[in-house]
Amino acid sequence: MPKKKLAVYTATGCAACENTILDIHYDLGSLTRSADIVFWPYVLGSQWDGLNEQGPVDVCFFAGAIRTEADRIAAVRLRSNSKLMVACGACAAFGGLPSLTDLHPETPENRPEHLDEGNEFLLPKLESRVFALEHIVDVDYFVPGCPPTRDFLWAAIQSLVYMGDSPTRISFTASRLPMALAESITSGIVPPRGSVFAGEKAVCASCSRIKEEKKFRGFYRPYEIDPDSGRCLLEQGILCQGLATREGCGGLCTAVGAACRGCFGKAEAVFDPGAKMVSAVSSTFDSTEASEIEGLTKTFVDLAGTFYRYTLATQCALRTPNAEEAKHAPDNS
Amino acid sequence: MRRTILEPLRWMEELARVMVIENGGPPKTFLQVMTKLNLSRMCIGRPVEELPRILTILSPAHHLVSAMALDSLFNVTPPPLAVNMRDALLQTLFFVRHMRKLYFFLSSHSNPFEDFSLSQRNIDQHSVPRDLIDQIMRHVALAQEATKILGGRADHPISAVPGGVSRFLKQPYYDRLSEIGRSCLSFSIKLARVLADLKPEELLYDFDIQPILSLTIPGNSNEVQVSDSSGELTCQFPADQIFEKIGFQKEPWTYKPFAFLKEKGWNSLDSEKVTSIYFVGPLARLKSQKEIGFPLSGENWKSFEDTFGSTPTFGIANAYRALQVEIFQAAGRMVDLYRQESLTGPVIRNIPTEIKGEGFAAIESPDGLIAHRYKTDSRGIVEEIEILDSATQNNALKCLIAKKVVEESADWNHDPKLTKVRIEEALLPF
Amino acid sequence: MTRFEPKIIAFLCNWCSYVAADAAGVSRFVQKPNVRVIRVFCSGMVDPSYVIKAFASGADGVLVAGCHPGDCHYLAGNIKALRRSFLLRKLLSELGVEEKRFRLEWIAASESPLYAKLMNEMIEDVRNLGPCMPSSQKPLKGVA
Repeated sequence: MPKKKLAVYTATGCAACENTILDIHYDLGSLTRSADIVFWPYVLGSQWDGLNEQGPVDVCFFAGAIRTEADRIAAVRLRSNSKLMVACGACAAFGGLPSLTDLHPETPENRPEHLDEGNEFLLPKLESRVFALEHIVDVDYFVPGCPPTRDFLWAAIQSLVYMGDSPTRISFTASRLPMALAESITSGIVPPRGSVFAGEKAVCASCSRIKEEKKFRGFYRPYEIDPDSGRCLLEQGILCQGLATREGCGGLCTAVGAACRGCFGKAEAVFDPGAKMVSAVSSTFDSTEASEIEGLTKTFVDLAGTFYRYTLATQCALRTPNAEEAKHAPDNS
Repeated sequence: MRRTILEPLRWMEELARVMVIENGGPPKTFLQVMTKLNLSRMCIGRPVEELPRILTILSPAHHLVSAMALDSLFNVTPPPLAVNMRDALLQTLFFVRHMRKLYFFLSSHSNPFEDFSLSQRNIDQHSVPRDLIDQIMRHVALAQEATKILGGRADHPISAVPGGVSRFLKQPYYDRLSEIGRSCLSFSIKLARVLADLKPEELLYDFDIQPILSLTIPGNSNEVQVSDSSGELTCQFPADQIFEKIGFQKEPWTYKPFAFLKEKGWNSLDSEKVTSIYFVGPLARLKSQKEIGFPLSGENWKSFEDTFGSTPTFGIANAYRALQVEIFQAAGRMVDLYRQESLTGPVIRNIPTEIKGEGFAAIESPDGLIAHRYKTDSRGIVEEIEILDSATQNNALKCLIAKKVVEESADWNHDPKLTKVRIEEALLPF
Repeated sequence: MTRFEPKIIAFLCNWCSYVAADAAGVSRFVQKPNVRVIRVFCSGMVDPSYVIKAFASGADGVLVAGCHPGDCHYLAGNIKALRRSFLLRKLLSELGVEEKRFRLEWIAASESPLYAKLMNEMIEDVRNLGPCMPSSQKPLKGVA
């Protein structure tokens, strides 16, 4: 089997995704006989002209949101050089935390600054809004999470490197993936485009907290109460997004007593995470009186910033950019 | 006019590059940070208790300082158990961060992901034993496991909440933590010896940087100390005045502003003598410390004193040594804090009862002093945030370093790649 | 300049409001042609995602109409719709959809004049507000 070539790149975001790849370093070492990391500016100091010399890359892991012209150019360049493009982490997959900036009401004072024309320092211009990778180029697979969990990232790397060639490795990896994905990689077929390397159900399915009947008369902000350990947070009146969010983290946050904020994006069956949460939360209101329900609703704050914390750019149906908007690089005037 | 661009810079958390412009005369060097997150737009309008989870995008230590700012905003004191757990997390973050930097540094001449048989063939005099690099990463992985236990997640922790932390530890965690702590400590002792043999100044292009001020918050005090290049205290002020004392200068060639001391006024980075810019971080702490709270016997301490003299000079190799000293300190503190006695207690968090409307906190993070200040309305919705990040504060220093490397290497444009490597190695420890 | 003609999506309950709308037509009440009616079996089945999808697909206003409280064919479906409406309206307004664009009304089968009146009223309200988020007429495919 010829060696596969991998590339890793981060646009606007933080280094957490790349650090997660570094954290699997010990296992990553075992890949060296089957794959080479040929482009990874953060760790290997690779340069762009080196990428062209390498010839086509087999799998590119792209992290970070598209915030500037430079991010867009990098995405296009890596796409044209790579056979498979993987959006790695919430920023690349859904816009992530950086896309929260677009929720802020736009007024002339806080409009993103564009630099003067003819800037001799060639500082890349900011895009009109924050885009996810799929708005700019075609994306083959997604590895969600902020940052992605080591397990799924490793599963994604292994599956795309071996792709049916090393049954022992693949069978272990496949055991963690959703069935359709697992079946295709064990039989050496490229998984369907758009597959997500994470679970299919909602986080609640793997959250260890006990869920009983959901009825509440009051909503609490996370600082106001110390939730009982072991009982569903939503039942205790804390806004937890587990039921609209894709499973795969194993209930990391809820296990620590912190509510889910949806960094894996929406679950497969959900249309819009905000709509799902509205429906789920309101059905738990233990009241039939309009005025009472209205009073209860008033205690909620910042619904959009909570429900779309990591996913505003792609999964908020009302905010997804139209094709025109994504196609154009920022205006140079 | 000739432009040379060295990009993308290795090991930078944000996308950055160096641009050299030659227009007759000496070359002009610019370190450009190519993107910005616009944090205030991200945070305004959010409930304030969510900020620790949002601002970890800067670095994991921002999670802790944000939670501390919330303590003051909600006027609540965390119980000792929570304070210890947060501190244990912070020390582990020091360990992870510095170890990673050393890993980057030591593996910089080889490809750590190269086929083993190939890498054996490529050994030159610069190569560091592969075994050492693997061991460093093994200990990073161990310490990451500890951050996961203490913080809930490794890179973006979630456990610190206003008034404490969100959950108790369970029995198996105590045993695991003390195992990790011991292993990290014994490795850091070994690492100190290996590094002394390797002599960092011979592995890189070492040079002294022009003297600038440094800012630190020593120990558990609440005073910010401004020290000059020899480590002498020049002035100090209460930490909560920091946003009044520090100004931010924006330049058209970079998205990252420059922090400077307001009372001295901004001087351009080109001026001969820069008086108002400063730096933060491990070397700043090491220089201003009169005595290092060392967890180990006097013998080890003495060997460090022999290497450094009383105050280390302001150079690149010493910045790497500072990392190593702090790894040592952090590992010692980790062993101390990971004991079951430190991490048990009757209460995990105190529930806030009021919202003061303004919160502030400042701590020493692995990369240097960081501070947060929030203003909220009566419901705790963020109206204004101010964040002092270590990268902004070291921005001026980093520009000076890039400039110096280009100026000092007369032949820089014959081999721009070498210049790039030199710049990267010099920027890494700050 | 041509006058802005808003598009209104009306989710009408099969047992009451749909009958009212039908009767309003039969009775030849004057109604503006801006409404697209979707018959549903109960206002309780109109999930918030239907409403959001309607707005995302270019609707300028959405009406959900059901039986008066207590009259629901399925006992309490309309109460379910009521429970959701407040939080949904809050979410919509945070995303830039003004409150008047989304209405929940109780219209019994016999109240066809009321239906015609409400519809005309809502069309004028929405017309005054202008098109809903003109920038995103054509949303891209969602993630995966």
